Order: sequence, then C-alpha cells, then structure tokens
Amino acid sequence: MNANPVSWPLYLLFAVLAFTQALWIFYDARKRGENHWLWGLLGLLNVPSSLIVYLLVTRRDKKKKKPGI
Amino acid sequence: MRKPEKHQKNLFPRPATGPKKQRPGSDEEELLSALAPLKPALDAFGEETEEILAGLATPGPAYFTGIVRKALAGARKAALAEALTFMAVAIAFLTGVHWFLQAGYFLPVAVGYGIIALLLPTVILFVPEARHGEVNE
Repeated sequence: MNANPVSWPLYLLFAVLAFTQALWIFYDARKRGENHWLWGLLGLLNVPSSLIVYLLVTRRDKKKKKPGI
Repeated sequence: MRKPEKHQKNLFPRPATGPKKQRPGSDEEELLSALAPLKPALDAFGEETEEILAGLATPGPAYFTGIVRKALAGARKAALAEALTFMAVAIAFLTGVHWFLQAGYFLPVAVGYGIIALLLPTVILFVPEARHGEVNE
C-alpha cells in the first residue's frame, strides 16, 4: 500500500482553496453575528460543501427571521 | 404587637359604604396647595444647581470625537488580531494535516477528519438552538 496516497500539488490546491473559503466564511460570519470561529473552522474541512452549507444555513435563517422583525 | 392608641389617627381609613362624591380636580388643588410652601426652596435649589453646572468646564466636541475614534481604532485592531489568529490556526491545521499525511498516517487523518466533519456542523447548528430553548423556558 502506498504510504502517501495524496499528491503534494493536489493537496496544495485543496489547501489554498480551503484557506480562502474559510477566511471568507470567517469574515462573513463575523459580519452577520454568527459563530464565526466555528464556521471558519468548518470552512477548512471541505471545498465547496462547507461553503454551500454555510450559505444555505445563514441565508435561510435570515429569510426566516425577516417577517418576525 | 402593641395596640394602636385610641387618640391616634387612623392612617388607613376604610372606604365609606356609599359612593363618595368627589369634586373633580380637588386632589390636584390639594396637592398644589401642599406644595406651595416648598416652591421657594425648590427654586433656590434649582438656581444653585444651575450655578454649579455653569461653573463646570465642559469638554468640547473634539474630546468626545477622540473617545469615539479611540474606541473604533481599538475595535479595528482587535478584529485584525482575531483575523490574524484565525489565519494562523488555519495554516497550522492545514500544515498539520499535510504533515500527518506525509508521515503516512492516512487512516488516522481520515478518521479524525470524519469525526470533526460530523461533530462541528452538529455543534454549530444545534448549540444556538439549545440556547434559544433555554432562554425561552
């Protein structure tokens, strides 16, 4: 079995994308008053499913809160 | 408990049996007449307070602008420090994952990743709702 199944350039690409995504989520969550640290850490895990989950959750919550305000 | 003496005035008189007719505005007149002796003393107190306040040096708008500017600069600095801390944590995390993968710990990394990927969304999504529930209770 290969000890290192993940190639370095592929990992670098993933790392750059995940880092950018996490940073954007961190800033956006802070702006919206969400738990920005946890959302940012979630953004580091996957590309782009974390971003999709974040957008769905935060935008859905916003739509839900609007009529009540 | 001591019994009230007979000559003492009843402080809490019972209401009369029949509906008592009261002149409209009689209470107000009574109150004004009761306050009339206090008026000169209150006026003197007001004048004295005004004199004291006039003697105090009020800082100009620049002072308050400075306070606001200082607070904003502090908040900006704190936000920048927080963002830099997050960047450092993110880089450390990604470097750590890379290091573990290079060292051949593919399975532990995969298991750890799976656990984090499962628990983190759970914490993010359900902890605030639980808190809201506690508050509403």
